[in-house]
Amino acid sequence: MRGAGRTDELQQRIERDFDTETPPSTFEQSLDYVRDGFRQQARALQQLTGMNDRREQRQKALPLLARRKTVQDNLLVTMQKESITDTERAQIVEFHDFATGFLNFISRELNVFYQQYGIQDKPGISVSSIVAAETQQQLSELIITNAQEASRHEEGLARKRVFEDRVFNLLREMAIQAAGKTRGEHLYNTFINGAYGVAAAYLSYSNPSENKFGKSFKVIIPSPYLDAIEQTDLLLVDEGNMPREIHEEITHAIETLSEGGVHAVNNLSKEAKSYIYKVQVKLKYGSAEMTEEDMTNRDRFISARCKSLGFDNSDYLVLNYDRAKALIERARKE
Amino acid sequence: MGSLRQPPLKIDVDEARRLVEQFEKDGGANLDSGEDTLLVRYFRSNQDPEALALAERFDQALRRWSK
Repeated sequence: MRGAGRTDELQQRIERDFDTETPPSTFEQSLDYVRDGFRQQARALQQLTGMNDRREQRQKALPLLARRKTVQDNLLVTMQKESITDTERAQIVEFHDFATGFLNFISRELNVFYQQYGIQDKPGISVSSIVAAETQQQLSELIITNAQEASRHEEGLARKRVFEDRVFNLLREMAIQAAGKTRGEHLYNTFINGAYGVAAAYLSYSNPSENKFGKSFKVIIPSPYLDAIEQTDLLLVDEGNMPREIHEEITHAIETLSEGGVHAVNNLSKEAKSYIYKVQVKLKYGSAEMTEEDMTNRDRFISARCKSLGFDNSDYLVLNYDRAKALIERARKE
Repeated sequence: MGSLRQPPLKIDVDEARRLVEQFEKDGGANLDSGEDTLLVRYFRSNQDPEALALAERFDQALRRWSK
């Protein structure tokens, strides 16, 4: 249709420009849609903070929950389109899940959606904490996988790095929208540092030249239950000279653990435990020197989470941000 | 032994039904954000008739409690 008052020449230029301009793909549009949807939800969350009337707060939060469902419903319809590849579909789901999990984390930290902090129907287990731990672990896995693939020069890597950046940018935007710049940055950094720290530690323990034990451990990111309940970020398995039956026993325990069996590793035999190290990771800005508080936390972890459960091997790893980033960069280049 | 990717946290149909019923009763006053998250994820991952029916009940309850 010709626009009123336009000359033929102008009209032709508009049509030519429109034809040559590459429209965004369905994949790009979907990611943008998720980003916009979650930015809006984070902004809405901000209006719910500081409300004293919990009933009113919940009432006002319901449209936000409805919005989450709408975003998801629309994505489901879009993802049925043939123009989306399986890899793109998986990335859209992952992008959506990161944002959903992080919204849960921010909600909890801002004390919205959470009537009885830490008290749930399953004693000692807060669902929000476990979901937050899972999201943080998945971020670590994204960083580790991309670093490992970078070292193998696999195809499509640049696109994965772009995706990684997009995830981190979205989470940062959400935190700032929900909590304002200062607190939002703090929330984001707390969350992201946990993910970077675990990723860097994972890569460090996998490489004998990067850890103090000089060993190449089989490194396990345990179930989010173990992370949330026992503050155990990693399990290291020293497979050198391991008897076959012990290998089988540990394999079975790890599989059970990943299916939610929180106590599977704690219930291992004494001999099997001697091949396992429990690790807690802490990432700090500035110096990685241990403070008194770090030492107290380390002693508590070793005593309550390791020795009292029969694990003589453990590590409390304090990393500084620069070292963690350098570790990840080195892994990318190997 | 223990792949990097572990299965995501998920709820089964019984837990989803319990959460939807709870939501119908109290508008989510006793759900925490983690349960919200798992419920929303359940609706994405499951498209069988029972899951769709639960999603519909959840939508209706959301509309009712939002009024």
